[in-house]
Amino acid sequence: MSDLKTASVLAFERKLDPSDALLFAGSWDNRDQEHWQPIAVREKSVRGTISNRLKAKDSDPAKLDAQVQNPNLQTIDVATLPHSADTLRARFTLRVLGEFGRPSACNSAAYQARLQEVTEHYINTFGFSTLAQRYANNLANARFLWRNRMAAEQIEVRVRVLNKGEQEALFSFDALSYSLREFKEDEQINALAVLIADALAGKRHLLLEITAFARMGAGQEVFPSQELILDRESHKSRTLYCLDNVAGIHSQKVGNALRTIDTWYPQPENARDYGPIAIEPYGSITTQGVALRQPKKKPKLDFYNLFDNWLLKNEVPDEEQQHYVMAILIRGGVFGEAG
Amino acid sequence: MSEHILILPHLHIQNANAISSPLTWGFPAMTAFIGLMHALERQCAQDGIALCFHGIGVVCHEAKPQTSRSSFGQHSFLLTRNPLKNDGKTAAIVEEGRMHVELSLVLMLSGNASEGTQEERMALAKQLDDYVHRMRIAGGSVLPRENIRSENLRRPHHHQVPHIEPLALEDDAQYTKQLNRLKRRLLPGFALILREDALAQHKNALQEAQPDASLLDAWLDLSRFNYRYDADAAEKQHWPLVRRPSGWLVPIPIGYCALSDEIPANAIANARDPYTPLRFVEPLLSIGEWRSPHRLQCIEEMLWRIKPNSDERLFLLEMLVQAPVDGDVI
Repeated sequence: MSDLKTASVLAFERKLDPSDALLFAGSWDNRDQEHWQPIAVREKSVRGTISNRLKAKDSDPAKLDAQVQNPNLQTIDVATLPHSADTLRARFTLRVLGEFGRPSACNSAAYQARLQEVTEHYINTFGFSTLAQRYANNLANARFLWRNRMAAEQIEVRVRVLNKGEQEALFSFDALSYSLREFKEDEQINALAVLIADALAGKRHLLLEITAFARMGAGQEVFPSQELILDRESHKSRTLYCLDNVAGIHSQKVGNALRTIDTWYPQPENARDYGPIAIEPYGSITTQGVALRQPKKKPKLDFYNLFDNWLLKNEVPDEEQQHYVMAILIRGGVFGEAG
Repeated sequence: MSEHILILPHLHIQNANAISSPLTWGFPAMTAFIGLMHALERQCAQDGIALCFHGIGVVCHEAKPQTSRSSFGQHSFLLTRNPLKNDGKTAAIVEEGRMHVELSLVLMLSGNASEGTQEERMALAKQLDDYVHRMRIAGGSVLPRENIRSENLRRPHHHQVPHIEPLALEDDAQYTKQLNRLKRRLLPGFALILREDALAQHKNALQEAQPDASLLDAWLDLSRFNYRYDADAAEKQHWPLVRRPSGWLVPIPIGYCALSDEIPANAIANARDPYTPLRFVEPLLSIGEWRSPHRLQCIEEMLWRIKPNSDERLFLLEMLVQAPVDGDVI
């Protein structure tokens, strides 16, 4: 066991595979209707003001005067509800895949055998109920709507379980009654969690269709994903994601919201309460520019330290950190030893 | 055992790899689909389904490369921001090309499993469709068919159902009827076929004006729009577009060529797995054509396979039947 080494090629496929979420508009009372109007992204040009903080060398009074008088012209993308509709509908599908713990690429048979031993031990000890519970919560609380959730006065999330194109079960949640900071248990969540846990364990095939209705007010702005463009040669300073002229939220962004279940990170130095964060190897929060699971500071609770100690040195982490490590394997990624 | 045609219609693939080789982009490489066929065959063998796959064809119904275009029409890929590094700083951005595609796969297969009754065959088609939905195609996720887009469903329902039927190869009249029915299922769309002949022809055409023109010159020439100055034109500064050979010709990779000798398994560090011998390769390029399925004269014209018994240093794809040169057909 002591001479076991991490495989130099080691990769896992994601086990929660969401589609892009597409945005539609309609009225709250017509939620049962299938046909909603797609929300389009449109371009607008605005004549803004110069309001950014100036560099020290520009703060010469005369010069500053000249600059701030100039208008700040810009072209951006926006997406809004039409004036005749007060509700945003976001819809995506989520596939939960089995074969947990089997890497999609691994070049060491001994390592893979050890990995299987560890994951089987985890499944036999805890099962996936804790993780599935939290994933189910993130469907119910509509975290995947991101900024759209903030402005909504009422949100309903419907989760359809699809089997060969037929509806097998339907859950309906009042999303605002579920907190973003805590994970709740109730009858519906538990039932949904059992399905997710069984699918992760490979006992069944699971395909969910998630539809969220958010009542935002007629004509209000909605927030699709923004595109990341490095070599920006176009005149536009904000490009939003759309598919077939329907505004959308990237699948990556939906996935990030669903795996925002990590509350097991060490107490941050600034003693701030970050609430649940996304499952990431270093516990990083992109919007805050921090990583809460530092590999250099004790306790070393980043994924690589936990994982290597567990597999190679048989130092079994605490129960909570075991959940975290398994959640990383569900997230997927390339974890091989650097050559 | 007779040969069967399997159609897996209208697969929606999200974030497939749009960079098919170091020089070409716009659609996943055909080698990715050959790999899919191989994975499917292995999956079947694992589950005790006796099937042998002979070829795979791709009909693309819709392709949406994730790019933005500048005012000059130049594409640049829309990128993804990756998780932060452990110090909380932004990780380097690795450029990758992604696209969403809607395509139908056509596979030719034979085997005991496909010999059953109509119902058994339909169940088999569904099973294979299910396998594909759990796989990745060219690195992209396969979305469920009955999905978000169902609101703008434009096609008859039975065209959305996986379908398998034996090929009526003995009876000509029957075969034509069958072919027409299959073709209808695949419309509207474009099938990717190999047009090596167009490349050779174009080289000959180039050599008329420029005797030392090589295949590479011909390939590059076909991969772009050419404008040449016309000195004889009445108006000044006349730059007409040089007419290309007809057909929607595109540069595509069609396999790999060895750069090294075969390296025995487990002899080299950081290989993908310790059991498979390997060698270093580079892609081979040729010219393909997007051709509407209604112009096919037999279904094999759109099916690809690995060229058998070629030089062992080559992994080369070919068509089951080479389509007739443009102009011979309507």
